[in-house]
Amino acid sequence: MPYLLRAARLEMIILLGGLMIVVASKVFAGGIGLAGLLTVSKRPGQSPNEPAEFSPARAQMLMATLLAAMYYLLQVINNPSAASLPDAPSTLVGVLGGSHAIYLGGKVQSAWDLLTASQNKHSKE
Amino acid sequence: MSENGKDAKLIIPQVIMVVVFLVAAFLIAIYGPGTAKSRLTMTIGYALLVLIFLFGMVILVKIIRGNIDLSTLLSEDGKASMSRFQLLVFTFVIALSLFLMVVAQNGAKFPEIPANVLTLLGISASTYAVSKGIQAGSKPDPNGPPPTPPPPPQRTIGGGGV
Repeated sequence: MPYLLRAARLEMIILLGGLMIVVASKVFAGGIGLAGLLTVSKRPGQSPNEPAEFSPARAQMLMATLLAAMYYLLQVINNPSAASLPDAPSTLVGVLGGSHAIYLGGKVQSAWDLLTASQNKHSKE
Repeated sequence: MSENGKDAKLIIPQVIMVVVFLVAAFLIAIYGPGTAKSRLTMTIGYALLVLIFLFGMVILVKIIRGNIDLSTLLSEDGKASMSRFQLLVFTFVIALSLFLMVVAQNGAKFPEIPANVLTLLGISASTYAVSKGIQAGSKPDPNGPPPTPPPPPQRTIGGGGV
């Protein structure tokens, strides 16, 4: 039985590790596009040659996500033999929830702008 | 090379793998140590292990060779999506954490998952879902609303007569 357990562990290391390495390498090599991650969609009246606008809502969400992920991973690495996954503090959950709410608020705003502009265009026609 | 030719080339290694797998399972079941029950347990355990490994490797190799296209994994309408990106990060973090703990505990027990961690994952996944909903709702109808018919000409009483 110990051989079976060892083989299962090795298999998971190969498969999970392989998948993570493949996805991460594709992200860094450009195989998975990250273009436009921190910019907002163009507004209806904007010309296609204009550069896309930087989005602070997306930037803050990126930072909050990466910080929360790193904080959690460090907690696991510091005490990997605990009986349960480390609990995420309520503050972290609150901060992350707020960050996501800001991002979604920005998205709702731009969607509303897009819809209004489209309705105005049709009403002029 | 045609699609049929490719399929025919793939069949040979698949058949070899199945034969090797069956022979190994047979040898463990007949000549392995312990009672018949423990041998059966070992055979089923190894069989599942090999099956999962083969499935996983097929997917991994197809991703590496580009048969499974991941180029739009983070894209939404041609540009990268923040909601997809954060969902990917959180999924990997929780999966890696679980994996590290299972390995450190020598596979004794699956670790418990606290409620706050589930909330964290819920926030992440629901942000993606809400973002999808907003995006679908904001797409303007390409044809637009049907044009309103012009008002009928007004009849003037007593007008236009001789």
